[in-house]
Amino acid sequence: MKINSVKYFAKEATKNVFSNGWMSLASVFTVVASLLVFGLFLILTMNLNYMVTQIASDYEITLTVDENQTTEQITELENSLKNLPNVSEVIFESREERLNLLRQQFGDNASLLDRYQNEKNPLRHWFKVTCEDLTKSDQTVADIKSLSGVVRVISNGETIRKLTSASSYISQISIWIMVALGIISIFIISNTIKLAVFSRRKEINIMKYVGATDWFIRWPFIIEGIIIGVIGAVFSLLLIVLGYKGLTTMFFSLNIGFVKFILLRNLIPWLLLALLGMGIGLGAIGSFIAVRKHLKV
Amino acid sequence: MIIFSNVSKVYDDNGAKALNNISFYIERGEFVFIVGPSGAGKSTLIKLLMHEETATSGDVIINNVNVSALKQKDIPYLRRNMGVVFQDFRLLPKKTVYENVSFAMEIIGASRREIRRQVPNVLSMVGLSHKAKSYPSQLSGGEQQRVALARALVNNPAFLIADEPTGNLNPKTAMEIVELLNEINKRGTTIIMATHAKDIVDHMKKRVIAIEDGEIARDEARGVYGYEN
Ligand SMILES: Nc1ncnc2c1ncn2[C@@H]1O[C@H](COP(=O)(O)OP(=O)(O)OP(=O)(O)O)[C@@H](O)[C@H]1O
Ligand SMILES: [Mg+2]
Repeated sequence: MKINSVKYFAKEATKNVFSNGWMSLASVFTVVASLLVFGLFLILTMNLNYMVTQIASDYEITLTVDENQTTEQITELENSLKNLPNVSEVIFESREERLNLLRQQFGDNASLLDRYQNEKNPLRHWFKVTCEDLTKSDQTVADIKSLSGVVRVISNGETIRKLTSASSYISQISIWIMVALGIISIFIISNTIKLAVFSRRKEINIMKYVGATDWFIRWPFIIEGIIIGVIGAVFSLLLIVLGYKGLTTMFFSLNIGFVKFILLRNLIPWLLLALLGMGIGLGAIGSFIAVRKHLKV
Repeated sequence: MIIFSNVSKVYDDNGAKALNNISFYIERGEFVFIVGPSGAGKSTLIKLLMHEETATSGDVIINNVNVSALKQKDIPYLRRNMGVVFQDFRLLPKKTVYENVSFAMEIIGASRREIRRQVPNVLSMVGLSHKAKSYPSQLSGGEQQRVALARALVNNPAFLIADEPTGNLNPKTAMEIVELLNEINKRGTTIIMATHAKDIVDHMKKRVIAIEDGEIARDEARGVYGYEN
């Protein structure tokens, strides 16, 4: 493509955007609305996934050991745990270690624990088991329960599974809503471009007589659609960034410990990519459809 | 060089046989009038040249290229070799005279420098340098047709094809336009002009191809119009 032509396309496309002012505005508005919803769902899904992976990476099965077990029996138990399928790591914590940890957590109030020293220690030894595959954790829990010397098995696998399925459910709904909004945007943009084509059909006709190639005639309209898409993307990006900032500061000030949000600055590159990509895509597809249908070159 | 070889044209929509097995040959640098009664097929012939319509049968050969077999994407390049002028001028009302002409260069990707050099040239050739900044609505019919001519010529086409270019003009202005065409022809551009203007054809004494009912009735080197107006 010649550089002169590129300049010409850009000039014509911008002129079109302004000369169809109201229609362009309506299209930009639709794009902003769809991309806003798109961005919201994107953020929601990304944050859910983030939380799930956060929680999943903390996931472990804890089992407490019967206090009547001998040291040999405990070593044996440790070996059987290590030999179970789907177990990646086994960590032993003795009751003394656990009490010390507790003392550390108590800090200044550690003296409260003084009367639980030595034989009076009410805690049991325990093992912390990490799984290779979270989805198979149920089986691992059952395997652990069947070992001798195990008193209690604690696993939060259920919570994680619920979160995971909720997040994939939400992702699926988001995808459909995004598809629907995308189609609406494409339709509106396509309509705007159609009007632009109609209002310039005389000019297009003359261009053909003078020997303009088909693509030369099409490009300004496609670029017009892309301009609408990009303007829409920029506005929705601004709105989303401001909204996210407000929301996360609100949550931080509420200090809800387990809700961990993705930091805005880590999110912005993805948002930029996704929204601009979508804006350009919607604009290009919308105008391409209009040009294909209404620009008989 | 243009060759029509056994060309017929039947319009699909109404089955009208507009051209019936016509053959002729136009040499480079010629000036040819196409005459004939209304509905004879003159505009159809012009449309076949520009590939606005395609022949139902036969071959149209332009500069050694068989246009009948041309691919859609090659048509623009055929047209760049051909300036066209119509009875209704077909100027863009929102562009100035200068812009109406430069437009034809922009769309083939000419550089700004080429445009700035070439447009004033053709405008002075058609005698409209002083109207460069005017809009079509501020011009007379003859002046508008000169702008259309400038636009048709600005890319230096080998052929100039005109379908009743003087149809909307008074006899004096019409004659001036044809004199201008004659000038252009003398510089080497082949000119093919469909017309109903008896006085012009009779005055110019150029080659005349007369079409009647889609067939060639006459083809004379220094012909006359031959019909009563
Ligand atoms: N687009 C079209 N569709 C169908 N029939 C057409 C079309 N264009 C022309 N015709 C028919 O073809 C025949 C030749 O028409 P054409 O326009 O070539 O005549 P012409 O010689 O240019 O006439 P005029 O001097 O009035 O301009 C006519 O019968 C006309 O009705
Ligand atoms: Mg005609």
